[in-house]
Amino acid sequence: MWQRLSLYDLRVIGHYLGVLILFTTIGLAVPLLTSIIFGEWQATERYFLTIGIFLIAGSALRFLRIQPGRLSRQQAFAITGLSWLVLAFFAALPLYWSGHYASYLDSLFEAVSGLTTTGASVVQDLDHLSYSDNMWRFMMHLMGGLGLVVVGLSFGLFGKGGGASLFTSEGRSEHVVPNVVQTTQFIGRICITFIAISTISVGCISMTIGIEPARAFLQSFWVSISAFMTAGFVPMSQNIMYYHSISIEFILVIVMLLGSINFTLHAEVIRGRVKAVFEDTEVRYLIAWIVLIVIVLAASLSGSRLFSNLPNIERRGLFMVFAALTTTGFQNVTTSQLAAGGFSSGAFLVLAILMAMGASSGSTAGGIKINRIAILSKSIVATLKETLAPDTARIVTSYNHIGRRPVTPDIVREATTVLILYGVTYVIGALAGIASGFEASQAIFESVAMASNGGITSGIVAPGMAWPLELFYLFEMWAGRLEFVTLLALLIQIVTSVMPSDLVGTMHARNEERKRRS
Amino acid sequence: MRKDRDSWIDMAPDAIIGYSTLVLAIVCFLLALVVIVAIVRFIVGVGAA
Repeated sequence: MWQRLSLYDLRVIGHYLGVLILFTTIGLAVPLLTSIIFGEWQATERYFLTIGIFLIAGSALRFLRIQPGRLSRQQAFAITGLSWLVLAFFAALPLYWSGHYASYLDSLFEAVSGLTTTGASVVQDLDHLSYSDNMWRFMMHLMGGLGLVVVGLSFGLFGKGGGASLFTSEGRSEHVVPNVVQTTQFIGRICITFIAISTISVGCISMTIGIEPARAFLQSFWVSISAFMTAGFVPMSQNIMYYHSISIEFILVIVMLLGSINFTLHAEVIRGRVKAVFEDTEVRYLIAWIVLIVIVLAASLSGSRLFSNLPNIERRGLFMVFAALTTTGFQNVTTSQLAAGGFSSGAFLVLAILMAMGASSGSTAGGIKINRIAILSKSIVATLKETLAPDTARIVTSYNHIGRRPVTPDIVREATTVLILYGVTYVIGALAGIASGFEASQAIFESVAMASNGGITSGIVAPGMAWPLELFYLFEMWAGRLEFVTLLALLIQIVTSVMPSDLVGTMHARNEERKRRS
Repeated sequence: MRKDRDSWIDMAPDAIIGYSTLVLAIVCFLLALVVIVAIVRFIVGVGAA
């Protein structure tokens, strides 16, 4: 039943959290270098100090000596679950010291939003944030989008044991190649390649619209990370509207879509087997879903106050559809236009539904994921067929994902469980927003944006927001990134471990007795 | 390591063709959506009139 964490388990967890903290120091070298190149000496001091704190904390935890060997499943869940929060605590420090955040909680929120690739920001005066602080925000997107544990696995930080448990506990559903380390390295190479291509494309266009070269390539690097990682931070307060460029928006839509495709399909494309993408059940459902939602959105926007003309629906409407669908969170409309009547209420709700559903599994996108919807749809159809078919008939349901695969009861159960957990979280988050005094539609939208890691904000997430709601949204982002199961497993482990042993023993004995009687 | 590097280089032509096809397909899909939006806007506009 519920296993308690032993002292040795805690040493292992502490040891590997220390390893991850030390490893993250490499990521901090990038903003440090940026501050030196651009002469941001105050930022240089802050990042030196932060690196020092990371090194001290990581080294101290690594002093927890452990036996070499495989990580148990419980240890893997705990490491994965805690790493996001522990790293965010430290990652928030340079942001807080920048003076652009109202409180440490705001900077922690920003760090969690960055690492979980939500992209909702509470920064003050973003337009004057230093290059190094912006670089750190986007480095968090890169590390979080790849997966903190995944990055660690690809560099062999966790030794030879526990790779598979760690991989799946971070919400990764599939291995691109049989070896976990090679899978993580493959994902890393794909991400870096597309970010590089996008950086060059967007950078060149940025220069043609008048941005000076250094800023053009820095900003294009940042938005490319944000687009492929389907994350959502932007370097300017006007979001993507800052560039006033249809070309940039077009390229970003393509990059967002590429980032929201399952990485196993990327592996097929690299081998020249593009057909596998179009035969994939999830991709087909995604295409149908997009067509349906675009029709609904276009019809709804046609009656809106500000965006009823065709060019606006084409440009603003379609861009927002893909920003929400891929759970990136870019905006080419302002927050007040979105929430305060510019967009019709129907279109506003459509964006929330898009974020809630998300895009493909095994990609950088968040949300429930379309493959779960596809599996549940097929399960419903199979149930109806079984009801109508003769008793002797055997109904077999399958889906296509690099070959035909059966829809088994375990797959349906997993999909149903995650769907329910997402739904419950969306509702509880909405209730929290309503209790804080916000309009119901806004509260629902914001809750969905947090739990799905979508990040499009309707105005509730802002600097100086109420701390109980901010904490709750922080928890939602964390839970959504780990797809709930890991986080719930961690919470159960913690509760079980701190409960008195005789109480746990009594519960365990009762369960054993019940099993014996049945 | 050498074998791994060779295999990535060997896959480069297939990868370029594969991704070019995929990006082209995405672009065509986006253009199709543009047409769909125009049709829906026209229908709604006619309906409103």
